[in-house]
Amino acid sequence: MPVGYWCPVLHAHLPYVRHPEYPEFLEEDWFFEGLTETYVPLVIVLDGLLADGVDYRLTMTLSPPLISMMSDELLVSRYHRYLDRLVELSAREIDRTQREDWRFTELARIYLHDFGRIRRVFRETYGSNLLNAFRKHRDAGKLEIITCGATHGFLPLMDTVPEAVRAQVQVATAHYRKHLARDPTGIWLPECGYMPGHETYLKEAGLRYSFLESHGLTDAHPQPTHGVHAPIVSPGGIVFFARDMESSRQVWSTEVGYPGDYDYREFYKDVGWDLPLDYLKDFLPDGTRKNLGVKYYRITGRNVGLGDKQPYVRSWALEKAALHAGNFLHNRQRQVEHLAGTMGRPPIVVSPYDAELFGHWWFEGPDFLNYLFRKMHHDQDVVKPTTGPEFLERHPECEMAQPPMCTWGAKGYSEVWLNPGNDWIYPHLEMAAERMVDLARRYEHPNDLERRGLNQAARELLLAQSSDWAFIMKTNTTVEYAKKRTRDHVARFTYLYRALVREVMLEEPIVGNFETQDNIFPEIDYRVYR
Amino acid sequence: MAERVGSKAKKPVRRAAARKATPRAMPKAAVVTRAKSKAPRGAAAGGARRTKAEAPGTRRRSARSSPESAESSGLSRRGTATKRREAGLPKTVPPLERSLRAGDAPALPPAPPPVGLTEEEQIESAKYQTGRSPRLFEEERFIFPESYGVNRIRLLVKDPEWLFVHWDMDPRSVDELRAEVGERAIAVSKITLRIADPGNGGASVVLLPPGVRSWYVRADSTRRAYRAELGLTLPSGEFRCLAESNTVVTPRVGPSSERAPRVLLYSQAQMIPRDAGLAVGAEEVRSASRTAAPWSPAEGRQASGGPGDGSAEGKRSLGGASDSFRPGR
Repeated sequence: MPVGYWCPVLHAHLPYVRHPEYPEFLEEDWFFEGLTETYVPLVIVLDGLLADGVDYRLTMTLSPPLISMMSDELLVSRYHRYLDRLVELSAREIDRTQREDWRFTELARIYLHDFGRIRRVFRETYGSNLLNAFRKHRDAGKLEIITCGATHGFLPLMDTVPEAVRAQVQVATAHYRKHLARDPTGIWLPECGYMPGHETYLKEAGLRYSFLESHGLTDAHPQPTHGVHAPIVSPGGIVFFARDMESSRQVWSTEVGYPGDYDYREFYKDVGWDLPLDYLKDFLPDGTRKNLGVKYYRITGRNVGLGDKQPYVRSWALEKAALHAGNFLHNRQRQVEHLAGTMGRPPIVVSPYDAELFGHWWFEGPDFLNYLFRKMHHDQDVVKPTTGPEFLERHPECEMAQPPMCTWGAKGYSEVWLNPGNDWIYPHLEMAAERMVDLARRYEHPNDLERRGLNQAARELLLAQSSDWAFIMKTNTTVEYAKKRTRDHVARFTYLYRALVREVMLEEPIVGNFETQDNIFPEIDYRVYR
Repeated sequence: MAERVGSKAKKPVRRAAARKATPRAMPKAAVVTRAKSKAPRGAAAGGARRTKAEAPGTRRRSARSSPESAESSGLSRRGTATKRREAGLPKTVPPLERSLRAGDAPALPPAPPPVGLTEEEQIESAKYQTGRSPRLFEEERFIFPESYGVNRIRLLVKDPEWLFVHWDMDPRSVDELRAEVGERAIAVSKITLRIADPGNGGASVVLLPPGVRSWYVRADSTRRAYRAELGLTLPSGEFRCLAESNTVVTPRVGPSSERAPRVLLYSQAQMIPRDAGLAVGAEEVRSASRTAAPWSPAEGRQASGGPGDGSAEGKRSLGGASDSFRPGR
């Protein structure tokens, strides 16, 4: 029996970005980059672990928007085009670097190999639907897939319209059942945002456990005896695990975290910015520079400008990933030994991360996980990887305590999603939610077009509620796009509302157009807002 | 190890320089001009930010015209094509997505997010980076209603020390009051926000400057329940309430002084009825209301303020951005 357990949680989520009205759309690259740099490489790692008999455990959120995008024909076809371009670019890069700068030829060959393998795994192994891969690992008993809010809506700020909170949970769990053919038991509350009382909606949807930021347990009342290293059950009947800060910082931290090592690949230096436009014209559809995913440089050192970065050496980076995996394991061993001594029961160390941190931000992240799971399996018996349900099966005792409202945002509450840069959205989101509830109660027996309008109104509301838009407005990355999305969905919702309360005419072509553009949750039933 | 930090600290400077050097003012100015040009037609520009053209006077005039003033008046004065565009409907020609072209854009790689974010925010924001200069979307903009023409006020918890309150007003309510107390009294009345602790009384009173629709209100640092009222303070000092908000509870900060006495098995947790969650929400309000307020008698203060509820002795923060949180107001 191990001394303690480690519960890694990867929260995989991207907002629903799909623009059939454009032949290509820049923000769709978020999803394509996520697939190429995180999701497919992770699957390749998990496949290798499974094939080699490594007894790993991993918990992953697959958010409903991400599942929807993975299943969407248009986006998948565009991803094929994206992958073909990457393969073609890396092939051309071998020729170019042989002529111009041989230092990068080997790396170009590695890119060609890696992109080719990603394409093969995506297309051939999993039939262009990565959900097949996640289902396989789930069915093997290694991967715990949990759900999330329907569109990653930030639930604590939705609390003024309880039906909206309920709909986020209900739509998500129904969507999970449809795509993953099981009932979910766990949920990642969007942004780890918990509000006392929301257990009602979780329990109604059949959910049994979730995760909180550390102070969700340390500040709970009464005080849990074992801090964040044992789950609690709230009076509302949901089991909560909480984040262990020590293991989180080793990966998240930009100062002491592994991803900042000088031998790792530099995120910000990309050939899309370094090579002549004429050479790149086949890969930049509108002639505008952007990241292309081929990067030749390593972080190099502290305060080194982009122009002074040194070439990336893949073997050095992999050595570091192995070294860091060993260091992480060593720290977890010492941590659980110490905790077990004081707790008198096996501790659980919960380490949640954004999935996209592994591969997209930290290029070597999937290699790190690969080494870590292998070392954990082969080299020791002190700490074992686990999932929430597996841990609860072995150690079902939970102290009862009430967590406070909490999130994993800066300062632990709602500031990231509610500040002077984005607070203007909430009056409109709340009004739309209240109107949706009104519509759902008003229409008992709608005709076919009205039903379509009602269901589409629910989709538009859900899409407008995605926490990504407020987050982007706060972090100032692609603010215009975030505003556009908020505006578009509130606009479409408002038209549908006004048509359904008979202020304007409900026109089939318009409803049909909305259905085409915002086609998430085709099975949605507006009555979820009653 | 610290390179990410170093590079992040540098890059905003590069981006700032790029902003200065590139002719991005042109497309931006075009957008502003278009938004302003719409304003005289009776509606505000997109977003909640007001331009000078959206003066309160304009708003009030349009607000009187119908219950859903700006929202309906903004649309009713437009033709079908405009209505379609405002409702986000397709146009005959697909909307143009304007990017800064290669010639316009600086040949600089994408800058990291601005400093001031937490480490996790910096990393998380990387997944939303397109590695490209900001774009402007030149679609016809839906105009967010400036008012929905209803009396409503909502309270949200930002963190243990701050609440966010936003509201809307039905102009007919003011008209009715005007008929009752007279034009002159209304003219010198103040729109007023009262934030009260329903369990302990006391209220933070904010006399609002004209035109604002939201406010951040300082909360007491102790876990506490709050409810807001929106109304008018008449020259006589009388407060006429127009709308009441939801009740919120600020979160407990710091470890509880009580140790968890009860242990349940995972299977037993499943037996807890789902309505228990709703009861938890109600109990939150009740128990927060039982927490004595700083202005309560001494014995009440002794009941709180321990390490258990995270309140800092002597660290009472005054509520309200423009008034103190005190009883009897």
